[in-house]
Amino acid sequence: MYFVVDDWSFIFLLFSALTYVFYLFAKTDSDVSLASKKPYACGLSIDPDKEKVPSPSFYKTVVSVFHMGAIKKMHKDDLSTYLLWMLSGVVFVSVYLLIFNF
Amino acid sequence: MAYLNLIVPVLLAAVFLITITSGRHRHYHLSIAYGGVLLSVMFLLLDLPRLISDKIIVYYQLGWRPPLGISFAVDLLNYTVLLLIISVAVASLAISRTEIREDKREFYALFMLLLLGLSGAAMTGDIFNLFVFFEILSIASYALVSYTGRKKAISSSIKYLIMGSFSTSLILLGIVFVYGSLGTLNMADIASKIALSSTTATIIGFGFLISGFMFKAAIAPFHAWKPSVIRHTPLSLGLMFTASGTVIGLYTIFRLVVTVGNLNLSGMLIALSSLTMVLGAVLALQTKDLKKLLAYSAISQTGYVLLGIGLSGYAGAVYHMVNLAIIDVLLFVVAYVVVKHFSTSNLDKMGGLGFGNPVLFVSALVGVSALSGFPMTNGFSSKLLIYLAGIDAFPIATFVAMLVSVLTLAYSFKMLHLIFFSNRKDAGVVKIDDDLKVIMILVAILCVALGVFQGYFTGLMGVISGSGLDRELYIKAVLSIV
Repeated sequence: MYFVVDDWSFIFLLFSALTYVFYLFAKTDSDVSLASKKPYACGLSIDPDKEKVPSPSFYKTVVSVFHMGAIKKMHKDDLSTYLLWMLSGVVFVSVYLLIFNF
Repeated sequence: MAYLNLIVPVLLAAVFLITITSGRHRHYHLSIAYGGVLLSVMFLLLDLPRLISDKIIVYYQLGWRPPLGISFAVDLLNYTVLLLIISVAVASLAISRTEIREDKREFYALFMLLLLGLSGAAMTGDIFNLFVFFEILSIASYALVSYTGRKKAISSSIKYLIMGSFSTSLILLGIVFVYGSLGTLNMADIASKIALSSTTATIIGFGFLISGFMFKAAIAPFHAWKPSVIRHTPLSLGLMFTASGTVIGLYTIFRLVVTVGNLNLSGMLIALSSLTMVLGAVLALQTKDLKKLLAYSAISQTGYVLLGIGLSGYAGAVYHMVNLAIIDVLLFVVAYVVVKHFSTSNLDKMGGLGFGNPVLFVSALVGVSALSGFPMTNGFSSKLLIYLAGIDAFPIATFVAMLVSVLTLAYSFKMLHLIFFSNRKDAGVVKIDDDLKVIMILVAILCVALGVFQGYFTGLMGVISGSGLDRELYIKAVLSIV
């Protein structure tokens, strides 16, 4: 048994190794933390150590532009809705089978 | 002698042993469960040389030959499925060691019953026997979901039970239709008769069967049970439902559609797989709960496997099914460590683990990279095979799959950011149990190895999927036709 590493994988590995070497030489540890510089935004000072993007803010624009929220609203743990979906699935599968396999 | 046939009795013996041990022997429950699982692995390995030489191992229960008797028929496809199920169980037991604190006897007895159902369903060559094993695993699942006794867990278990009973009724109804029209329950016998004797009843029967098993695999529009169930169960169980449950559902669909029915379902499978991929990814993008995110992600990835089957890219489908289980193991172990550390699965209450936790971070990074299909990971290799299968035949479906990969990347890195980089205040060094650390490192290495040596593994998956496609061999071997 032998393993073959194709050209692309080899190039990827090579560049990963090179990147790591660059990283080793380039990294410097700052003895001054970002928090001690007291950054501010819109007149308010912020603590970078405590700043956090809440999960609903992630991809908010994409979600609203493509109306993805509507799909989430459909999943409300409502048993009768879920059973209705299952029933529609059974009808779809059975009708498809009857049309294309008989 | 077929050692594989001993797996079901051994697991059943483990269930009985766990049930009867109590009092001062109660600490042995996990050991008995591990013993049953490790014996199963040993039986699997002992039968591998015979499987390679014979291509299929058939065992007739009590010596009764099909179509009257029940048979176990194991080829490379269901051997792989069995191996995946049992390997996932090892990881699941490792998580449960510290996760399950109370009522261990009930938990491990039901866990082993679940594993028994999964293993039996993977091996059987009889559709009624398949139904029985699915019932065993379903009943164990309903009980395990409500195991914590919390109000929400019981509510979600009842909903799961109602939806599950609906799907089980469909499977039973399908069996009635198939048996009524073909007069047999043996899969190989059905495969040999379906081309000549199939009637409308047979086709409707297959429709019901496929619908029932789509529920088990959580394929849209039968997917809704999964997030709610995973959200309210321990992560060790969530892993079993997400990885093993999905794998067995997908395997059964593959076996019924390709080996037994030889049905033309491309259009339907492509439509449902596209819906499954998109729904799973869009919902994962919006959730703030880590457990639900993993459940939606698993739903989305299941769509890829179904797409592979629909596009006749069977090697890609089997490869992604294997990867799905492997990636789930890695992400669920990481999730368990993280949830245990923060005592919550709410992503908004996590953060800062990216500093001082190299093993945890690298494992999570490899897991999400594999999930998103980054080059040099296993997810890339299998997705590439599926894209190649569909790029000419169904370019729109392939485009949807590629688009979902972008969405996968988006929700994966949202998860990674919220756990490791948001709230930079150092959340401290997470204590990881040694067994979980070993599993994380090994599975992460496996994810990368499967991606780096993709040429070799693509060939291997071609052989495995090919064994599931060989209808003639399956029929001849099971029905003992020389």
